[in-house]
Amino acid sequence: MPRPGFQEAHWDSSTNPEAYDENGNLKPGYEITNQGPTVVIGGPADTFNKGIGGTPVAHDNGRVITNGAAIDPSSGMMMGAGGAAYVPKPVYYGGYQEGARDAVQQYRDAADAAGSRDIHADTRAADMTRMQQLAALDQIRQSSLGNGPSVAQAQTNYGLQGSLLASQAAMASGRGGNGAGSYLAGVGAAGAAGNVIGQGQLARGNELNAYRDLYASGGGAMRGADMQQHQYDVNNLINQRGINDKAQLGYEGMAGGVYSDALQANMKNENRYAGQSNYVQGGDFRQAQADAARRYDQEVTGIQAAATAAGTAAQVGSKFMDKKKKGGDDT
Amino acid sequence: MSSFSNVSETAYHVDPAAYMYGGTANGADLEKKRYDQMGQAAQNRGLYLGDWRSDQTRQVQGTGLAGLQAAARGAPGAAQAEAARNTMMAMRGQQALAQSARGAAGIAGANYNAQRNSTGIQNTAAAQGAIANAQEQASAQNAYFNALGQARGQDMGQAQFDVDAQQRNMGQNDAAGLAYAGLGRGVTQAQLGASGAYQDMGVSQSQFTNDQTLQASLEQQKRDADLQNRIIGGAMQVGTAAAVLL
Repeated sequence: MPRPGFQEAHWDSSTNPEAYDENGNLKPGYEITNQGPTVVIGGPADTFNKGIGGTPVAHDNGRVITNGAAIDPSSGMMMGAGGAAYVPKPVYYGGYQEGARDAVQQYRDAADAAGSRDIHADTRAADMTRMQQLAALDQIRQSSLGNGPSVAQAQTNYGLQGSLLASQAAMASGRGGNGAGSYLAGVGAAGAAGNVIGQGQLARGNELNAYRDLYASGGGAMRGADMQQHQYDVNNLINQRGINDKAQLGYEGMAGGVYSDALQANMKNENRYAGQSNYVQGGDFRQAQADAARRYDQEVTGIQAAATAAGTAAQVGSKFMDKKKKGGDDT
Repeated sequence: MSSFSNVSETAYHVDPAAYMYGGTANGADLEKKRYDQMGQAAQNRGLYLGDWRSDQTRQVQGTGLAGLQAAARGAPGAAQAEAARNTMMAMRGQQALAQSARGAAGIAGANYNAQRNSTGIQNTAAAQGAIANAQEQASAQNAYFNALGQARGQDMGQAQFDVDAQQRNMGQNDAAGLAYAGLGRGVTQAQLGASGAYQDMGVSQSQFTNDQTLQASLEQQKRDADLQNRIIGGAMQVGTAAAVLL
């Protein structure tokens, strides 16, 4: 019978669903006193009763192996000399039989998800700029090979043009004389032109050297940037693994903790059942001892009574015989 | 047994709600689900990385790079345009001088000089323009390459910052998600312990009551047996006395 203020609930929630909430937990105000059918003592473990990892355990919800204690089939209570003993209900992680397994699965899913994450750097803009830079560097390389713009060449052209005009002017000014002035002017102009060309070649050489230097240093700068990008990528990967490992370990630790908690609860369940069984057997033993002592006393009393009756009968018989010998009543 | 009923009636009836997290049968389950949801929300928090300012200036930068690229490939530059404008002005000056001449011979001489000077100006301007243009192109090649390097460095920096930020965000999300998961697990642990305590209490109360009942029962049985023995003894004494009287 349930305690005052409580209503009886059947151990099988399908029998009276009004006593259970949507999660299968007992509603407040209800109590299970009948623990349901029992498993035969010494019989096989209930195949529906699975612990973590599918290991069969000795009891299911409402189904109890009592290790020798007598079971009242009508009430499901352990019966001993002291009356009905409370049959503890199994305590499960999360409140239901598969609670630990579900919780472990939940944490393991989270661990798996955390372990496989990856963040890619979006380097599309940098990669595109790199391709443009490569093209620009190739243009510098073309200039270093003499295929690009030349300030030296333009300056030489300008110098030669000035020299030509100066020569023409000098030759014109020498006209009308003996021609010697004109000749000397022409010689001077040729020398000036040669000077311009020579200086132009020197400038051109310096110019090409400058392009080559720019090309080499530009290549070095690009290599440095490429190395930097590679280091970024590697560091990002290492950091990502670290982050993933940390989270994965955290969730796996929780899954392991659930196992540990469930293991402790299962052991306590078993201890509770074993303790109750021992308790009931202890009560039976005390009752049996008391019965034996009482039987002994009764036997002693019986023997005493028999002896006393025999003595009394003998005494009565003796007195009867004495009266008969004295000629008394022959009845 | 009636004398023992009072004992059991005075036993304390514990309140099962006291063993329930939150005071209700599904309190622990609800609270754990709430923490799970908060943990998932924390785990999945995103990070908006958009930056309209730098996106806008990157476009400006791209336009500047395109101008430098054109200059590096020899497009007419500022020096060439300046030379053309100056040449035009110089030739107009020569024309004005020629128009200021008087007399037939003077006008003819002035026109001749103006035409010759204009040719000279054009040639000089074209040559100097070519020099300036070559200088501009060479300088643009260098500037274009360096500016691309700067832009690439910024693009790399932006991408790296984004990754760092996302990883930091992920780490923080993980910490929060794990913390919430720990809270949820703590709720379940607490309920597990309370449920075990409730069962232990049931066992303890049951044993306590049964011990009393058993003790009382045994004593009663003993008293009954003693009474029975005494009755038998009394009967025997009566029988013996009767025998003596006979």
